[in-house]
Amino acid sequence: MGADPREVFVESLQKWFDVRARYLQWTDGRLAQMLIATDITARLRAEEQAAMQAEKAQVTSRLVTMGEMASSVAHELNQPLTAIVNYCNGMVSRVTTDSIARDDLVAALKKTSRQAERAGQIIHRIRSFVRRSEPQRQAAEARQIVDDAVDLAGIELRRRNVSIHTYVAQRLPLLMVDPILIEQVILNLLKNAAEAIDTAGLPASRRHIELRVVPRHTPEDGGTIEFSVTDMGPGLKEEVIARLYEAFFSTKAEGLGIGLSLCRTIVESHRGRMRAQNLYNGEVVVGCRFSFSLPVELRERSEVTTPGALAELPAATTPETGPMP
Amino acid sequence: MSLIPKKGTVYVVDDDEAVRDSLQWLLEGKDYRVKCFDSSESFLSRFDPREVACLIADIRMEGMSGLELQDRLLERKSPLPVVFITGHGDVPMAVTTMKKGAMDFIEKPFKEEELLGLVERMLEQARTAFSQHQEQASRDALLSRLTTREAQVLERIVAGRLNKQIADDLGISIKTVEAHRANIMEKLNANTVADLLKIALGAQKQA
Repeated sequence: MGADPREVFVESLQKWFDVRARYLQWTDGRLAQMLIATDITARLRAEEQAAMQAEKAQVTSRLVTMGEMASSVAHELNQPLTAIVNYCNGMVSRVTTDSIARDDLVAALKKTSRQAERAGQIIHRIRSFVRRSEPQRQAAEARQIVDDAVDLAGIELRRRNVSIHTYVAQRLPLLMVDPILIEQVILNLLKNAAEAIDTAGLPASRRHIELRVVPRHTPEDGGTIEFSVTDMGPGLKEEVIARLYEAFFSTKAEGLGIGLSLCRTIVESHRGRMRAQNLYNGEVVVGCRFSFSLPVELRERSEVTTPGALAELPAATTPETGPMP
Repeated sequence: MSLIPKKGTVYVVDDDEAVRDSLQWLLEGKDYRVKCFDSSESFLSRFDPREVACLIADIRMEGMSGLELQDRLLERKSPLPVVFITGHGDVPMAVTTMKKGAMDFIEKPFKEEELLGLVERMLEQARTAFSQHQEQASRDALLSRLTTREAQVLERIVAGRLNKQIADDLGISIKTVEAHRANIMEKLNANTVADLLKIALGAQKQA
């Protein structure tokens, strides 16, 4: 008996149906099959959305965790390092006063090297974590990424009383990127700019961020899309610019200094570049701009259009259509 | 094993085994007696408040944190000098502990000289507090030898009253006051009035 429900896509209607079959006796006594098709398009779309959101949330939390991981690794590494320093100092003072037996010295040395191994394991852990978090590239629209980032930054910007103006050029080419990671980079830059403005206590007329996304073609990098976040804040001191991407460097009291380093890693893993510069009016600093560019991957698309590649593409799935009475 | 007498006791509270063990090794190599505890709780239940000692504690620990430990010690009015071990990013917490009376804080990994310097400063403070406490205790012991009447007379001597005035205050004869004075001086081992005042006023500081 064909009672199992099937989900069927009807091309001509662009809809999904849940189809169930039942046998019954027709008025003339013959056996007939009745098919009941229910339009489930809306339900499936909703489920798809939910799945995407969940996926997105998981990826976002993966990123937050990466940052937290980096700082917890710093803390964890400190333990064996501290022990190593203590053991070594203890050995130095005992050896110089000739007050330690050989066996005790060996025991201390063994303890020291065990701590060094412990440190190695901690490093190993972060490496395997990072490997699992490799960027998942897909074709993405810069506008969408920017909209999502600005959305996420909204709360922070309002809290700090900072306004934002966004300009995204028309008809930008598609990017082959991990949109969540790029979103995080933009978010980080926006938050930094807002914090700089707020901390500097700027007057209302200067509590403003400009986010621009424009195409750029340079001889070195070819075709790129450039994202820039500009503020009218006090800018960066020279010595800070030099150390900007140093892991764990931070000018903030509570800062752990992993944000920009992580951002640069993300941008560079997409074969992009990041830079920071003060903006000047003559001699006076009038603002700061953080920008990064991502290459437009023309190569990826051409890979698909080579003749050999076409032949390998899986055959388009044909929608099942049950016989309709 | 060295026969040099120990320079004092250092308590170490840290939940990381390697940090505890290595710190003990380091300090024992410099002739300190070291007692380690893996948690604030175990330390609080077993430390001897009468010893000349100091405390090095990690600021971040599972269970009772370093900050809470400090609060507990303050509740007990413990004069135990304390230095906190901090890691990256703990400076705001460390500042709080110093405002509450911690002697200092030191960041991991330690610079040996800095650590030893802090231990010495803490023990110096502990020794001073200890000897002050001893003096106080012996003063209290002496004063407890006096009878009620003698205590009343002493109070007035310290207030600067003349014998005649004391006699009038208490309704006794001058001769009796003089006799009491002599007894008081003997009981308190005082040769001069100045000695008397030191004992009496030292005791008043406590009250």
